[in-house]
Amino acid sequence: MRTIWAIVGVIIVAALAASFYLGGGPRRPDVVVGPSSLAGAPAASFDIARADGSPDALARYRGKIVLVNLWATWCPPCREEMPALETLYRAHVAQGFVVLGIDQGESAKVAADYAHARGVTFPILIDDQQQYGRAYAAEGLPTSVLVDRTGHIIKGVDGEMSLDAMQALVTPVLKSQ
Amino acid sequence: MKTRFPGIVTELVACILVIAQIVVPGDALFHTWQYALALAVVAWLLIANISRSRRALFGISLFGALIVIADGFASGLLGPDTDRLARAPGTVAPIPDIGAAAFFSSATPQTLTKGDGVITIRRRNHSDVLVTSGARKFLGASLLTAVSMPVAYVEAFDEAGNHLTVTQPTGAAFLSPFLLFRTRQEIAGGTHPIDGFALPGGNRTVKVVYFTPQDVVRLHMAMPPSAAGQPAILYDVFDAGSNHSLGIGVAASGVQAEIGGVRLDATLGTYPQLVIASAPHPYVLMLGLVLIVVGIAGSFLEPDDGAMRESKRHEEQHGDGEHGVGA
Repeated sequence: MRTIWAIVGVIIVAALAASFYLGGGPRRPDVVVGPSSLAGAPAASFDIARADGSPDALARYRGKIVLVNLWATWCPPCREEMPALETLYRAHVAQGFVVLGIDQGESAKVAADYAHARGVTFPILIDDQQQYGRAYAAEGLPTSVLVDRTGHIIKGVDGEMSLDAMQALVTPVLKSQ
Repeated sequence: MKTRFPGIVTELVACILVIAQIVVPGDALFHTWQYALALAVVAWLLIANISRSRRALFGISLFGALIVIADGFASGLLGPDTDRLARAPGTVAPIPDIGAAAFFSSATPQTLTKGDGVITIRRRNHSDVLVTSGARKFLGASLLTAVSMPVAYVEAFDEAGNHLTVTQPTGAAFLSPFLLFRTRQEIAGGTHPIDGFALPGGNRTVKVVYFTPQDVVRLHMAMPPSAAGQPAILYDVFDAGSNHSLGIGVAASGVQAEIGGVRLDATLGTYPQLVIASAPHPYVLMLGLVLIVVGIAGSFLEPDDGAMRESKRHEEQHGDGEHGVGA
């Protein structure tokens, strides 16, 4: 009987000791979620207004390849990227491609005046509640998200892209879909 | 009954110790060595009772309590620490420990004041689990609860009335006008939720402090009569370049304040924060509890094995004696 008690005691002590080394402690740290982690997910869409006041939303562009570009006029890299986005849009608009410039948190007039002065022809949307910025896990501006014809995210990109980088991202998708 | 009483008390203590993890989920006590030691002592007592038990069914009851203890031990000391996920409305947070993702529902200033935010837990090949404030949901050996926390939706305008982008470079979401007040600071004899945001378009940074309606009264903060019973927010506006304070002001929820060249408007309300605590696995716990109840109930109907054995031995000894005399 004493042997059984000794075994039980050793098991309990061993379990206690093992718990200090094997288990417990903090949970695994949060996985950092940026726009690059969104590939394959359905693209969130919110009803917002265009700079001219007409209603619009990403969901209205189902059937097209869409490059969502989150931007603001105060953001220098966004301003530098704008001409390349316009060039890309004009080059592929006939193939069912569209650039959606979604201004984050600014007044429609500010965004519209800026876009008009730079000859931007792609749609400019005003997201005053910054819903797209949150849903696309933007870690800064600009943030770009490429959405396929079925409304799923192909790739999310944090930061400014050159025209070459944009072409490399969009052209294969336009050829395959 | 007399012989079972110590065992029943030990079982009761075991159940209280383990079910406490569900009643008070996330308490740090459950991850301490003292708690584990208490479980170990109770386990030892249960084993001692099993060896002394005269009834087989009462032994099953004690075994059920051991299962409960093992379940509590696994979730207590072996389980990961409690985690709190505070995220902005409309965002997603992965929870690698349970192989799930938490979707924080979208919110508007109107829904914030109602405090009816919902967190949806999604796992591959499982149905969605909705966690609302005050609710408790088991997910394997994790207990998910949602706790309402103060939150503010801020809007900012420049002097010309142009809407300004709100960013939170150190917040849970960079492009979010929702302040989650994840830290607290001692101010005027009390600790208050604090947060901050930037207005890059207006070249300003803003620190904010949240005051509950009780704080507003206690600190004798001057508020318009229409704001009676409302929480309030204190703004400290800085120049983003020089980091010099440009002004401090207090405003009630929904009331615009003009400070340091910007107009600020905050709607104060509540939004759930997800608390993930290790908990005893419900199926294992149920099994243990069922064995305890069935074992105790059955032991009252069962004859006392030990007493029968004693009586039989006594009869045998008595009989042997008679034979001996006869022989």
